[in-house]
Amino acid sequence: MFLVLASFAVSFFALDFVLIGIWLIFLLGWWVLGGIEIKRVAVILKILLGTYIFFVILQGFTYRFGSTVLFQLGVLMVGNRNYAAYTLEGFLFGTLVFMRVLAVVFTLPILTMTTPMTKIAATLGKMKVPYQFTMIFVTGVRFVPLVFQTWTGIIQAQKLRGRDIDKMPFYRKAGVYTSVITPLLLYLLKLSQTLQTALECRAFGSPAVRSYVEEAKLRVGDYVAIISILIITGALVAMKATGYSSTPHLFL
Amino acid sequence: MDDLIVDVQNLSFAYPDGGKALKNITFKVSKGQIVAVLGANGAGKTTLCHHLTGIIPNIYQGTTEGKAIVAGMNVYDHPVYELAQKISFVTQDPEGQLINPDVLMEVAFGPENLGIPREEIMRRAKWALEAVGLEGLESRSPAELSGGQKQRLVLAAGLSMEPELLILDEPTSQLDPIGTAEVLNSLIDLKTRYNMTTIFTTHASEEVLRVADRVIVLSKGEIVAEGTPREVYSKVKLLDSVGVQVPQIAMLGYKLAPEMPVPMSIEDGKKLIIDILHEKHRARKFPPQLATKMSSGEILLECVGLSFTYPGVPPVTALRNVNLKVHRGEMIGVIGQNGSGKTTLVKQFLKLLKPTKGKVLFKGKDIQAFTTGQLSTSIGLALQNPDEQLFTISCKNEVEFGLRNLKLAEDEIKRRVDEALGFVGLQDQWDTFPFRLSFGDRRSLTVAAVVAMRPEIIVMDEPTTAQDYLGRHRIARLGKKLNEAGHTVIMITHDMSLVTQYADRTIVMANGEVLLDGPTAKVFSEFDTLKKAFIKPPPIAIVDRELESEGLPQGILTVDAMVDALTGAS
Repeated sequence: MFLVLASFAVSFFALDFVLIGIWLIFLLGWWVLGGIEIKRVAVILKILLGTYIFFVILQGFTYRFGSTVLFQLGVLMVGNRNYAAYTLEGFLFGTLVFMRVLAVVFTLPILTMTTPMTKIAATLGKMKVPYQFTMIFVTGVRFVPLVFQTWTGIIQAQKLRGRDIDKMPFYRKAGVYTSVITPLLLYLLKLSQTLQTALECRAFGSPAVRSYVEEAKLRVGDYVAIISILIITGALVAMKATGYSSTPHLFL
Repeated sequence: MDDLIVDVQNLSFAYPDGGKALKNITFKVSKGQIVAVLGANGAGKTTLCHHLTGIIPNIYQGTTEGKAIVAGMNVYDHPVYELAQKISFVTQDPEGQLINPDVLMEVAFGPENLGIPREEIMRRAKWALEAVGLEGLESRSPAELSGGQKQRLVLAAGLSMEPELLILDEPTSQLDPIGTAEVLNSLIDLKTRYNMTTIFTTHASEEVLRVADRVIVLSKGEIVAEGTPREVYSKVKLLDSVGVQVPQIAMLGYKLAPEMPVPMSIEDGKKLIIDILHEKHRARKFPPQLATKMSSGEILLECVGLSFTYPGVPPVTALRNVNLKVHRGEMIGVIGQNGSGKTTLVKQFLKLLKPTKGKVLFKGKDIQAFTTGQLSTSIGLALQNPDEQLFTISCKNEVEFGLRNLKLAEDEIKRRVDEALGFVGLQDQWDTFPFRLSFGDRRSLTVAAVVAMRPEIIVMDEPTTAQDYLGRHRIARLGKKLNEAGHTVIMITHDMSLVTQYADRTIVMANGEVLLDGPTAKVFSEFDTLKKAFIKPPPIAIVDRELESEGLPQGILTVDAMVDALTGAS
C-alpha cells in the first residue's frame, strides 16, 4: 500500500527518463523479491500498447514545446504552431507520460499478487479508510475475472450465431465490440442486484462499529520495505531538487 | 404453538407493474422443521422467500397485504441487517453471493459487520464451516471451490450469523447430483445436530422425499397443496396439473394402481410390482432384455485422441484422450458431474477451444480449417449461461440475429422466428426485452435462437438448468422433435430422467475421460461404472435391476416403459 502511494508521488514529480527509469527498475526488483515472473512485463506492455500509441501520436502532434520536426502531414496552423507536424520532443514526452503510467501499473501486481486481499482490506481498515470504500475495492478485484469471462462469453455467443468475427476487418470488429457492451452492462447490473441482496443479508450497512478477523501488523520485512522505499524516493526527490534532468529540453 | 418460527397470515403481494405474485398465503412453520416449497417457474416461490427475509419491502417494493412474522419479528418493521441476525438467505447463484477473497473471510464477513469480537467470530466460523463440511479450506479462494462447495460456503456464511431460520431459494438448481446431495445432506445434518429450521424452494421432487418434513405447493401465487411429502405426492393429478414433477415411484404407483395408497420409496415400488406380478402370475411372460443398438449412419463429428488442458497455475487437464464418433440422426445425452469435461468437449466441436492434443473432424475435415462462425452454420451450440447469449432488444431480434447472418430472405426469417419461438413456448413474447424474461425462459430463448438456424447438429449445454418440470420436458421434447426431423442432437444435462426418456445414446464423462458410451439402456445397466462417475440411476432403473430375479426385462428406465412392460405382459 505504501509502495503504491510512493509510486503515485514519484510518477507525479519525476518528469524525467532517468528518475522514472530508476523507479521502474526499483519496482521490478520488488517483483523479483515477491516471486512475480518478470515475463509478465511483456503481458502488461502488450495490454498497454494501444495506450502508448495513443500518447505518442497525441503528444507528437500537440506537445507545446515541440521544435524538432520529424515529419509533417501538411499544414494546420493554430497561432504560430503547426499541428500537422510531428515532433521529436512530443514523441519523447508521450513516452515519458507512458512510463509514468507504468510506474503506477507495475505496483499493482506487487500489491495484488504478494498480499492477500484480506490483509489489504485489514490494512485499509487500520488506516481508517471507510469500509464502504474498502468493500468497493475488494469486490472490484473479486469480480474483474468474472467481467472478462462474461466479455469472452458474449463474443463466443455471437460467433455461435454465425457472426464470423474472426474473418472481419478491424473496423467492423470494433462495431461488434460495441454490441458486446450492452449485454455486459445488463449482466453486471443483474450481478450487482444479487450482490446487494447478499451484502444486506449479511448485515452490511449495520450501524455497529465493524470488527476485523484479519489483523494488520507490521513485521520486520515491512519495516525494511518502507525504509528502502523512503530512501529511493528521497534520493529521487533530491536529484530533482538539485536541478538534475536527463531531458532538460522537454521542460522549458 | 410455542415453538412457532414462521407465521404467515393472508399474505398477498403485487409488483409495481401490477402482476399479483402472491395471493392469500397462510402457513406456519415450527422450529426444527425442514419445509420444501414446490411450484413451477413463476409460481411465487422466490417472491415468498423475499418476504420471509425482508428483501421485500427493503430492496424490492410492491403492494403487500397480510403479515409475516418470522423469528418473532414482523419483517416489514425491520431493516434487512436486523433480520439477517435471525434469518439467513441463500439464493440459487452462489457466484454472485461470494464476495470475499477467501473462505474464512467469507464466513466472517457477516459477524464482522455486526462488530462481534474477533474470538467469537473465529468460534462461529469454525462451527459454521464444520457444520457444512468445509473445515480445513479456510484459506482457499471461493473461485477454487466446486459448485456444491460454493453453495455450502454461502450456507456457512449465513450460519455464522447464528440464525434461527434458513431460507434457501433453489439452492441446488445449478448443481450436479453430487453438489445437490452435499447441500441437502448439510440441511439434514443441521436439523439433526442443531434443530435448525429450513425453508427451501426446489424443483427436485425426488430429493424432497428424503429431506423435507413438510411440503408446500404453490401455483400462480397460491398454496394449492400442503402436508407431509407422502400426503402431497399422493395428489398426483393435482401436481401434474400445476407443473410439479411427481417422483417416479409415486407416478408408477398412480399409473399401475390408482386405487391403492401411492408408493414413495424404492422398497414401496418393488413391493407394488411384486404384488401385481404374483397376483396376476405374469412373472415369466416378459420378452427378453430390451433391444439396444447404436446408429451407424454417416459420421458427422469425430474426436481423435482429443485432449485439452486449461493453462494456469496449476494447469487443469479437462479432456484426456477422448475418441468418439457422432453419427447423423443420433440423439445423444452427455452426463457427468460438474468439471468432468462435458462443456469443454462440446466447445471443441466449434473451435471455441483449441485441442492441446488430438483433433476434431467435421465430415472428415479437421475443424481447424474453419472459423467458429463458419462451423456455427452446421453445428449449433446453446451454451449454459443465457445472459451471455442474449444481446438484442427483443426476442424476435434475438432469433433473427443468426438468421440474418445466414443472409436468409425476409419471409423465411419471419417464418423461422415464428416457428422457433413457438417451439419453446415464447410465441407471445416477440417484442419482450429478453432480460425481462425469467431465467428459464431466457434459456429457452437461447435454444430457440440456435434451433432457428437449423444446423445439422444441435448441441444444448445444460438447457434444463433452473427450468421447472414442464420447461425441462418442453426443451427435451423439442430436441426429440428436431431429432425426428433429421437433426443430430446432443444434450448435456444432470437430469437423469430426461436422458433416460429422450436419449438413444448416452455418453458418461468423468475426470475428462469417456467412461461409458453406448445405447442409453445399456449405459444405465452399468451400475458400478456409473457409481464411479457419481451418477445415480433413476429409481425405476434401480427397481428394475432389483427385480431381475422376478423376471422383469432389464433396461427399463422410465415410468411409461415399466407400465408398458407390466401391463403389456398380461
